[in-house]
Amino acid sequence: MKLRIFITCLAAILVTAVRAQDFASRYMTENEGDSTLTCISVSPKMMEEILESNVGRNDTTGVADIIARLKSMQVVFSNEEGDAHFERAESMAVRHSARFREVASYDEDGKDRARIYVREQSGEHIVELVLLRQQEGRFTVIDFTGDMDSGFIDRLTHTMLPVAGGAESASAETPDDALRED
Amino acid sequence: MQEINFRNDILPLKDKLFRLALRITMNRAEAEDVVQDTMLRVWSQRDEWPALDSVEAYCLAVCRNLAIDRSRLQANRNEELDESTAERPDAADPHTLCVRNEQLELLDRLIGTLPEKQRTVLQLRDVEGKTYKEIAAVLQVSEEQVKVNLFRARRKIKEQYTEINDYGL
Amino acid sequence: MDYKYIEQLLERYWACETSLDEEAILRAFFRQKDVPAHLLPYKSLFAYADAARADGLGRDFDERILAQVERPTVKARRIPARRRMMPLFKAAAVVTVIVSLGAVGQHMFDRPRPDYDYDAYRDTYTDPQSAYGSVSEALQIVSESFRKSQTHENDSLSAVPAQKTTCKE
Repeated sequence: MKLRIFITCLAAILVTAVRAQDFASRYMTENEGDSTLTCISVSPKMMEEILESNVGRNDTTGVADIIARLKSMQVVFSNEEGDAHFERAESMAVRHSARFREVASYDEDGKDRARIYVREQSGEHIVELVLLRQQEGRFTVIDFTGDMDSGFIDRLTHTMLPVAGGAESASAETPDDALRED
Repeated sequence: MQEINFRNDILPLKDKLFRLALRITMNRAEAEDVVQDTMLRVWSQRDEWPALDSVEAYCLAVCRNLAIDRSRLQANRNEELDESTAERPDAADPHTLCVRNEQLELLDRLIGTLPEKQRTVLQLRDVEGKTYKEIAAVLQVSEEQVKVNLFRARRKIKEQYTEINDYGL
Repeated sequence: MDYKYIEQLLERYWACETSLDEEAILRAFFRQKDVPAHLLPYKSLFAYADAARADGLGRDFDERILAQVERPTVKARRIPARRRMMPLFKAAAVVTVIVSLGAVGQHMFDRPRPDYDYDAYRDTYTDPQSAYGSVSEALQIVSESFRKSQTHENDSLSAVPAQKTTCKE
């Protein structure tokens, strides 16, 4: 009796679990066998802990306001086959074009290119922001979920954000390096 | 955002969903119930975007899970949806098979002896014409796994079918 | 007549190497009345898909389900209570089911919010300082990418402006 009910619940969970995944999770699922991909996750709980830590409480740059709007972050990256990974991610975004709207992009002769997508609900409300980036062989997906809007993006674009360690932000050569876990 | 309309987006899937549910439950009445449950469930969650690409893929996934679930709950249903080659009884439903042709009836029964995953993959590929990618999305597995299941399913059916026919000669 | 092409396709079919188009070719071939003797054993296997695809649900199903969907109290009928609501169990699994069903119920009336599966997120960092380092780096990269896209204006489809109005499509 209990086993049957457990199986019923399991089946129900499987159906439930089929529901919302962010872009990064989806990309990892679709590329399950790819061992060159690494995924970093910051859960909503950890986001809150950030805001409650020294960083959040003593912030003067405005980054705390930005982080306050975030629920989660996931970063996917690979050091190999940057263009293949990028193209796969881009085609995934295009496939879901009813869900993800491209809001920005650039392409520097294929050596450095990026696309930024947002997922919106009820018009102005941005619930997910996805950046795809390729620099030579390196590929990165940065995926934020949260409570954002165009004002948030404006602030994000024009705020000089501090780089962890205190160095000047704008000219960081390989910012991706700092994202790596040892 | 995307407005899902029941009549235009969900209802037209009824036949595909029914065929899949039938393949898994092997019972027309059960299959119909599963389709109904699937549609109502998906419709009630229409404000959420499903994690899968399309409404169709999402419906197929929900349908499959509900069909598996229902198969397990049936008291008179065989317990295994796994690697069992037991000859399945025709169940309580003599109208399970829509085709009157004996050969096709045989094939229906043979497919019914396959484990659920293989059956589902075979159904989605050979009957519904889905790509490996789409099938992988519905089953939440890799395309490689889809191919493996399809390979086993096609081979088993071919072997058993030709064996039976040879023997019958 | 040389059936080499078909035989090759068949070999590839068993190896699951065929495309959907090629499978359609095989079905079309076996749909013919006159199939050579050595290929005859496979005729039914391919005819099967055609027959299976003909199955479906009738118009009365449409009527029944539309009656449920277009009713104002569809919420009550959405999920068969007997199978899902089992309040006596302590299994975490059941708690998840009940919570998720409750969430679905609310969504009928609240402003729609996506339910990302945050429980599936396994935190990479164990302390907020390291997490912060990562998050601020990522934000900086995104910020930089927005700026870059603005200076490459001819490449963007639609830059996000300060004003609200142009955000809408």
